[in-house]
Amino acid sequence: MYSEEKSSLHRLLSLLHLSSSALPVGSFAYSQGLEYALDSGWCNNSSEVHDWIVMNLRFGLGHLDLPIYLRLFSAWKKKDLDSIKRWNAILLSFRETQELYWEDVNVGSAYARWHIGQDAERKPDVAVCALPTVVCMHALGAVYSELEPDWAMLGFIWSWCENQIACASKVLPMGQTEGQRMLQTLIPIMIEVGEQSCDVDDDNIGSGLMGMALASALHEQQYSRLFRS
Amino acid sequence: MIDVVTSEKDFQSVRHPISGQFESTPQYCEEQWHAKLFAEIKCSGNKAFLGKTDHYGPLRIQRPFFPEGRDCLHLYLLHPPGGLVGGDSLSISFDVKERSHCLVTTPSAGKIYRNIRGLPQVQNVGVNVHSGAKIEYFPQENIIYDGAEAHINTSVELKGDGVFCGWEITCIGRYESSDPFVSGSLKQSFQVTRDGTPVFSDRLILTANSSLQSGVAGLQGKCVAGTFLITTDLFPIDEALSLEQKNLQKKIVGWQTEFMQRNPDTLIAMTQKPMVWIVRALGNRAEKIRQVFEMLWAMIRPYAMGRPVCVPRIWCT
Repeated sequence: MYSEEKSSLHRLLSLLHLSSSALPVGSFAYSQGLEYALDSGWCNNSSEVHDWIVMNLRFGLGHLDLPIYLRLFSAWKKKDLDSIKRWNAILLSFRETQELYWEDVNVGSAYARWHIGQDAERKPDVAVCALPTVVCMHALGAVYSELEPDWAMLGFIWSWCENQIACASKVLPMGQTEGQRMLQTLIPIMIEVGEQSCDVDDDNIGSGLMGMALASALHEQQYSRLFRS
Repeated sequence: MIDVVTSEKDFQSVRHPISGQFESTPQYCEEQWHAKLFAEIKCSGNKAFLGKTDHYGPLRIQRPFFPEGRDCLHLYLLHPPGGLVGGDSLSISFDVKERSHCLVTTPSAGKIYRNIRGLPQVQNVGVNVHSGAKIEYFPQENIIYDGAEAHINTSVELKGDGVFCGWEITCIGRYESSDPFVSGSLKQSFQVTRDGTPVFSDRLILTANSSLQSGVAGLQGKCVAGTFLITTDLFPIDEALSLEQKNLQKKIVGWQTEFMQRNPDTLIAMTQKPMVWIVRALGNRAEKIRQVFEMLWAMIRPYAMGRPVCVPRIWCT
């Protein structure tokens, strides 16, 4: 095998690692408002769950997380610490609710610990942001693994979708098979969203997901909950 | 010290291209209205007063009121034309100096009409709040007419322990006139920074008829969206709440739950992020959302601003 091909396979597996749902960061504990949407009857069946996920994918990831992912990726690459801190803080300021804010900080901090576990020399990088977001830490991992940003973002998108479907399967009587089928149908949208996020200018960043923000805030008051967001 | 525009000599009457009403416009700019207003709020001893002001075009502030004592200034912001057509812009800025306190409101809703010129309709609000200062900013709703190309931008810069307490209510289309928002666009941004660090950001980029307008994760097909925020830790996250805070929280949540039961078409939700307390509301009638925010303000003001509620007179008319 050519060494070039070998190194690209190496990168592929690193991407799978970085995006694995088995990564010990705890994202499975969060639904990002989906639990409330299911509980309150905003989403009653798998087609409505699909619409919920697609909207969050297009406007939440596509207009907020991913454009900032790209900026953080290039900032890590250049070791531009001011930009890293700035974009990390901007992303946190966009988090709509207390739950979404703490989810990002908690999962992001778990990612930071994972980084140190991978390689103790990453300590100074991880210390750049006192409250690292998931996007910030995922982008750092992608830079360490020498991934291309478009591929790295696809990994990020994939884990997010997989997690949303896992949430829906736990709350809604939606079988595994149905969830797995939905994940397949989302693939073309995931690719489209990844591509479109490259065209979002700084002053167009933001999701505008009012319903999601309301769901998340109302989830904070929900009486019985499986998920932490 | 009060510099309020009273002269009409710069204005002439013309028929507004959309409303058909006679309104005044500066003679020197018939095609586009770029109205600007700057006002400084200062404080000396225990007295708040209007400092430097500057204006251009049809935007003005009325003589300040002191309905709750000399230490808090009530200001009415007037935009006599009442609305924006394509190419018009409004630029409003307040500089709230150290330790001063003011409350700003508007006597009527802002209107952003159907756009026939292709140039966007822009409203920029900039608020600077210095350390120890407070501003309460309660404009009436902005009504985005079908076909508008609206850009609404609010930017708050806090210094030290400056406090911003304010809301923004936006009608997307006119529900009551059965004139839904089926064409045009709205870009609405709201940013708050404290000593340069962003603490709250929100941006809606809405194209008429998009899934963002109809979807349950978006605007759910509703016509009025509101956000009310106070840049304070009303219910601190990382420390135990006092009995007073717990009681207030219980009271608000109870009131909110009851309101939503009585008004199933209106959603209200509140949340506390570090140093920003946020309420979001979604419904079909601006009046109802304003009522929700006014009620919450009445419950919260003693805790957040350290004084009992004092309803601006103009709200009662």
